[in-house]
Amino acid sequence: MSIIPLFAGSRARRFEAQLRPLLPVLYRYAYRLTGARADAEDLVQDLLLRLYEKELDTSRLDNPQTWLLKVLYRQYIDWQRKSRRTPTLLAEDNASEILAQLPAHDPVPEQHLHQAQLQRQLLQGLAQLNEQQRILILLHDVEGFSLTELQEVLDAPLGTLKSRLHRGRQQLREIFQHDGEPSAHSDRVTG
Amino acid sequence: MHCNQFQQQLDDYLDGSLPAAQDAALGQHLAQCAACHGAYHQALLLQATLRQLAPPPPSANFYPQVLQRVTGRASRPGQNWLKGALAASVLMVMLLSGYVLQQAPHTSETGPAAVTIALLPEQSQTVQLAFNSNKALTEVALTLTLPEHVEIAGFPGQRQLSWTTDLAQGPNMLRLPLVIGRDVSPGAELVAQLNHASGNKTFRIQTRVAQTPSPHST
Repeated sequence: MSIIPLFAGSRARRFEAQLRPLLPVLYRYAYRLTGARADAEDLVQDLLLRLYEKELDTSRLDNPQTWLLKVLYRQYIDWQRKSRRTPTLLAEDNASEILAQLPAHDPVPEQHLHQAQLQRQLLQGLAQLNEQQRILILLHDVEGFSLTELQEVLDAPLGTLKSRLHRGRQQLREIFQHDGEPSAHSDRVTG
Repeated sequence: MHCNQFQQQLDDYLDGSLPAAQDAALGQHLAQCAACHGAYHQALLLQATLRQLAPPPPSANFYPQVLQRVTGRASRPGQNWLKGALAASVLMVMLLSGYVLQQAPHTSETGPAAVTIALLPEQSQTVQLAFNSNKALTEVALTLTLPEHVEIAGFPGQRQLSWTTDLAQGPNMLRLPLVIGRDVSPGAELVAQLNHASGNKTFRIQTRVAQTPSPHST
């Protein structure tokens, strides 16, 4: 018996066309959750497999990105529960991965050296937060997701997110203030 | 404004989520209080440094490759969770017999008497059509025409879909994930047409809403 492919090419092309633009956001989000590139890639691949098999048509969704992030977050919770993994945010190799992203052609090496130092302190500070605070700060302050969007993605009330963010930032500031000397260099950094 | 009030509202101020009057009041306090000004700048620096925590890029060619892997591998046997999802969606199997595309060129034949399928409304159910061919054929144009309120899952709003395929000698299975609406007209027909240089064939399948789950459900 032979199988007639049902728009195999078209379906794959449509899936790719719909999902391809969202992959960088999904990857970055997965990375913020897992803290490791390989795990983030696995998480994204698992998500795509499920979506493709379920023949998801994102054009039917009001806000595909928010919906996908929400699904990815649930998948992350399952994945973490099953594998009993903890995010490797502050693993030394991971910190190196991040610090390696600093521009190699640095016109002011000392400035970037200082920034690298600040980033390392920040990574250590983030590791001292609880997971919910850390994820929220990474998604809101680093990735720029609005609290309204995260309210849906993380399935938490706005008030809870605000107080979680406040406590996390406060703790981070205290760590940062204690370990770093940011005020002396504040004029060097721009948003 | 007291400094502790400023500290309490600093996060909202940074996020730009305060009402205009409060925002202005904090701005005014900032201009007058060196301590709060310092704290504000420290918070700004913290945020700027956070934004520079770029994640490492994914592996080379991860984006195109992962899509390729997914679209080429999703139906591969051996992935248990996929099998489960698939099994749940196959609710009916229908075999549509008939020899297609016989010898006479440019003829149009109607297939066997119309068959009726009953589907549960508003959910994807897979219907399998079997096209028997007495010889292998290449470049067969297959056209599906759907009645109102019947869709192929993943192709919303499309009434007609055409593509080219090859047929092997013997039965050729086509799995159609159909979604039927509650408002489908009685006797609404799904039409499958096969066109080849050697001849044409048309199959008609009547669709209706099932009242209860099919006894063939899995």
